Amino acid sequence: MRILLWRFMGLFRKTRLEHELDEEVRSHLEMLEQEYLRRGMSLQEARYAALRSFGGVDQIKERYREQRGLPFVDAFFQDVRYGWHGLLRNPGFAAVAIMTLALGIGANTAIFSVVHAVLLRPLPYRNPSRLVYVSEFWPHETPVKTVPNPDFANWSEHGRLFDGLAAYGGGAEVNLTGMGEPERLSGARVTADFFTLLGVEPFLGRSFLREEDRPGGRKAVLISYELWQRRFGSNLKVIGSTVQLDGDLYTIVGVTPAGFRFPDDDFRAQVFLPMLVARVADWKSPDPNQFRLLRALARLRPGVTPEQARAELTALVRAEAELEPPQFKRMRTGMEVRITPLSERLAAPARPILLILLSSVALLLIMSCVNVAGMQLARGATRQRELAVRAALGARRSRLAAQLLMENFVLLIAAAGVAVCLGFAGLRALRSLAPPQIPHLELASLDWTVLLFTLIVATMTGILAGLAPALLGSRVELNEILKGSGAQTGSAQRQHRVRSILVTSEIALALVLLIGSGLLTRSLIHLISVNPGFNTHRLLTLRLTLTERAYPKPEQKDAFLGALLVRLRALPGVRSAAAGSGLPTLGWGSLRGTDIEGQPEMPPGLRPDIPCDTVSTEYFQTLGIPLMAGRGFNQQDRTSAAPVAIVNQAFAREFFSRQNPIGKHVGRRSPPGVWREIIGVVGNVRQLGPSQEESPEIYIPYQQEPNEDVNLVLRTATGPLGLVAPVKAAVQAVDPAQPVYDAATMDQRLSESMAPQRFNALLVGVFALAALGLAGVGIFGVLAYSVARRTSEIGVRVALGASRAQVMRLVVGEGLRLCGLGVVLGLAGSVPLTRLLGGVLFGVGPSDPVALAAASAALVLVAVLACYIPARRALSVDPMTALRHD
Amino acid sequence: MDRIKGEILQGTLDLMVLKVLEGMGPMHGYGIARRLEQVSENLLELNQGTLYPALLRLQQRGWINSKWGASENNRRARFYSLTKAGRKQLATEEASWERTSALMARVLEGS
Repeated sequence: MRILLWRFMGLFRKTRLEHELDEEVRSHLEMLEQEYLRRGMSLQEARYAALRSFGGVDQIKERYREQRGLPFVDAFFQDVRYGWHGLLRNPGFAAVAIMTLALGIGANTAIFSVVHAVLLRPLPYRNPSRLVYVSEFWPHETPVKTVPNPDFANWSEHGRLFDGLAAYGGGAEVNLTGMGEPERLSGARVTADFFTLLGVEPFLGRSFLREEDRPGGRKAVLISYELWQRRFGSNLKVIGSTVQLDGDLYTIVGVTPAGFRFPDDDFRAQVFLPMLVARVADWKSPDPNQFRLLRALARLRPGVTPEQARAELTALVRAEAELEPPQFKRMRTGMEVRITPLSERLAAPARPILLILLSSVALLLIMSCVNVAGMQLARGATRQRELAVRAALGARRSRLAAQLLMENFVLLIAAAGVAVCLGFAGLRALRSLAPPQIPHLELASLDWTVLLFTLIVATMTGILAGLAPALLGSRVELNEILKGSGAQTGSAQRQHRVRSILVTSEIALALVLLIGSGLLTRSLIHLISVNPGFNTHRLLTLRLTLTERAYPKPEQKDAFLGALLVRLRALPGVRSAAAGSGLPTLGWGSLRGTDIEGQPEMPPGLRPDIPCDTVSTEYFQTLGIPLMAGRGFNQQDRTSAAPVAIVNQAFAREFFSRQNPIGKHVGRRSPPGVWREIIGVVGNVRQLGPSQEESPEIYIPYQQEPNEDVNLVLRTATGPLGLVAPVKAAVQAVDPAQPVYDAATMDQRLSESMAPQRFNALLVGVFALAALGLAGVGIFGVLAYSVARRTSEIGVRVALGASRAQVMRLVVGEGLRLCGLGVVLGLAGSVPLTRLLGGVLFGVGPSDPVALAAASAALVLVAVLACYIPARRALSVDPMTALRHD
Repeated sequence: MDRIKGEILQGTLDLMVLKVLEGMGPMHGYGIARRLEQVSENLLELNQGTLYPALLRLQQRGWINSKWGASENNRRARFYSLTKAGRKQLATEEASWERTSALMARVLEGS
């Protein structure tokens, strides 16, 4: 250890130590000289004798130096300095190499920062690894992610393996009124110990008390930090003040901390209200109002595995099974309790796309390495002589290889530096694209973990890129090189072969990326060209909610809408206006269990769930949905008139395939349900967005069943967004306390619904383009070198009468050969990789021939382009000069 | 007797230097070399320069110290001296050597 320290210190003050050594050796030699003089030798003889006696001075000094310092470190710095000078001498090479490496590393940095933030970072709760999401799987029903509250109550009371159980759910969208502009707030309902379970302390105030989480308890609310800043002016005394939500007065008891992340990405909560699920709700209580479906979170006790918890919860459910009402028991046959770690559940939607992105940038990185390796091989050819001399002086091959590798160090550092900048820019770009399938993208940043990752990747890249040139370059055939027989040497051939292999692999990798990009692009094109079923141009949509509190009677809702629509139609620039409880891209108004005439009667709970929308009379005309049969709604279809309904073609096809649905009935056979007569059939609409299948739908006139969700849709003469203010004013004119929200054009909404696919196609497309560029450069490099190497051969051929076409064929032939092999490899390699894409493709399979063909064609085209300059050079070879040169 | 030429083991050279310094007190490189030649009755013919890496090694191990001073003919020279640790090391090494040579002797006689 001492020795190491000594050696380390020996790195510093080298000049002084050298001096001292010098002096010591000199004085020793002098004393030897004196001795020999004393013995009677002449001055000359004495000097020689002294030197002989001493031994080789330089060698001794060298051994001393080895002992004194850390030879590795010395060698390292030496090599680095050498590399630095080498790069300065070749700025072109340096620039291209650095940029190529930086591209590969930088892309990885950007993507990794996202992966780290979204998938790897622990959740911002206390001990997040112990938090789990509890759900039930009922095999015979549509998949539920939720838990019925009797089970929740059962588990809360009897569960032993949990440190806490909390639930949350929706149903907390409220109108904020009484303080300036009315606003629609999105919210979540939570049980009293929700925040405690997560370990989140409110920024101000407290979370709910047990008494507040009971029906009839004090009306308490927590608000989000953002809401507190925006609507309450960051007032620190906001606790205790009241706020009007849906007409009721609530007391603000707390403010959640800034950056609080709700443990469910389906919710964007600005307010938090108590769950109000009576804890005593269980199977014995027959009140249907008490029955709710909750989303449940739990904290496992230390040492408890999810499996154990699952077993306990299942057992508890079984224990109370006899108390379940019979139809419920039937629905729940084969039920499973599922426990998912919360981190997994939150990460799941982003995982597939991030995996795709990671794979793409990894491929890109390998390609950069290969490219730079090729460039270095070419550059290394010029240093053969110097390396040969070193070898002749006794350098071992490993030392030479190490030297070549270390010279890359400067390259590495520079590339890493540029990569960080590129990564930063790339991350900014990603954030502005803000793909919806990657939530919480704003958390991604270039923090220490990411920088460390960059460093590691850069190091690996440097080694990878430098390995082939180092190994090849250090293999010096001394005889050949020192004799200077030039380009025909075995090592040059070997180098060419290695470079060809490298380029072929590059082409294969590029093809994989191109295929991926092609598939995603085709998916996007398919998606865009899907017929949505209505006319999407110049449609403005806005939403409002007529709360029960403000509009308790259906006639009031109807009156409001009637008055509003009159005003809207009178607005200049509005061609037509209508409203519906649902809207294309927003979804359906509701899903209802429906009886259908001609179909066997089903018990409740087993009726088919059909999407239903209540719409105003001009809904179909405004949207441009074609009427296929019968008639549309008109003013006659009021509450007092006969109940009617309109169905879409999908409904007609599924339930009335051979018959005319007009005149048949749907709804509920027995009161209080309504048995409606079908009076018309309209075209299908992709209500959930272009990527979802069309499904049967029933439309009901708004006047016969006024709904609280009112989605306005207006066809405008000019730019729709210019009418947002007039529409809001019209709404305010009818009811000043009615908030209007979520104004957007239909084109915007459609575009948003395709945002994931667009993002995928864009990003992988960018990577594929970069890969194409790299491959092109790689091919160019190899062919240029090949032509240079074979100058004399070409000269001979031309002299012997080869035509221009034949010379071209020589060059282009080699290029195509490389390309062809690469394409074959790439096609083979793409098979497993495109499986990854399976989940995100639309309308195309993973082995879509068009995409494969297009990708291959693009690559071949680039290869041919890359041949251009080398081919020209080959053609311009003058046989006389070429032959003389040899 | 034939002279013992060539390289000697690092360890043995170290030991010899330590012994010389024990006997002679602080000494410069040349002096140590001369002494070694004397004591071995010129059986030992080493390149005197090889002393220097050895001296550095001994310093790194903490067994000797060095100080610049004036030599006999008033030249600046580096003088080396034994440290306490060095003395201890010397004693240990000598004991070890004796044991080894006794063992070798017995083995060689026996077979």
